Amino acid sequence: MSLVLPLRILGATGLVLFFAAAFTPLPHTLSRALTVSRSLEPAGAIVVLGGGGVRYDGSLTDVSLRRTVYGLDLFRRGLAPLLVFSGPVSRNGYVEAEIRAELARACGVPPVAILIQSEGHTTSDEASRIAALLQRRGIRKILLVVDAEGSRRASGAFARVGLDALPVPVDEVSRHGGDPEGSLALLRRVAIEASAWLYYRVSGYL
Amino acid sequence: MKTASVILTVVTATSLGAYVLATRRLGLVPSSLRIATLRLTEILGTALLFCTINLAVGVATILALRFAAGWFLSVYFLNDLSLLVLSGLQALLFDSWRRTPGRDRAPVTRARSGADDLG
Repeated sequence: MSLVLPLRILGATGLVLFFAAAFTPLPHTLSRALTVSRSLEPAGAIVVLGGGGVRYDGSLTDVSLRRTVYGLDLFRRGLAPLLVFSGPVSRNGYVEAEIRAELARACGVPPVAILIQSEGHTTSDEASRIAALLQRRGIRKILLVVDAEGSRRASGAFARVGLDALPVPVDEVSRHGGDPEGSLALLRRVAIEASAWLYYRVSGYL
Repeated sequence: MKTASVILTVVTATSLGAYVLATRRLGLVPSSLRIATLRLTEILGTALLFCTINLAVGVATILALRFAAGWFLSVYFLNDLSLLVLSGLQALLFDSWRRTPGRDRAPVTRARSGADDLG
């Protein structure tokens, strides 16, 4: 059986997709379709989901730092009395949630207003553990700091464990630059998140 | 869109330059460009196929380790540009191999059975 024709069709499709991704607003349109955003309102807690982890020198990655700073900003604006930092232990032994909490304390957040969750490895796992932490305190509504493309999946996972999660999306890849490399990176994020969302749907996590 | 315009202008200009050089100096004929383009799509298709297979095998292995052995490995480990580059190299090598003359066409000989030996 000759594979030539199917390979040519696949290759031509890839070529068209590359040009559409790099030189048209396609990735931006797809990213907006995956993003869920609700207007900011006061909640019981601000939950900053794990993401990006810790670098080998013990500092937060750009992704993790961006989400942390966003969470701190929401706290400073008085939108919730409690900040929950999530993030597991990394391969080099650093715990993302603890480093985030340390940064928050250094920025003046009172230690009693900080909770950490360092056991969950997946979004669904994080949702279950954070729900257990917060429901003990009678909290049902949260502001969920998450990457823009993952906001639909994450808010669904939290809704499934009984929390009303208002996603506060943080762009991890700029959606406003418009340069080809940024657009390709955005399409990659969209592809990863769309696959993850599909996996969560099929596996019953949503 | 400034970056995109600059990149597209540069690439278009060098492509036109290469076309002129190829047809006037290197003796290449314009009609064979179509065949070359088809070959490019074949190699790209092969690269995408390798990439898909690499991702599928990677995800399946990670999920199997999670559920069977209880080890947690993040699927995000596969989110690395090197996988795409390596898939491209696999495709180039596979394509070169496929086009290299000298396939093993040794005739298939029937193994002699024990009954034959016994005559």
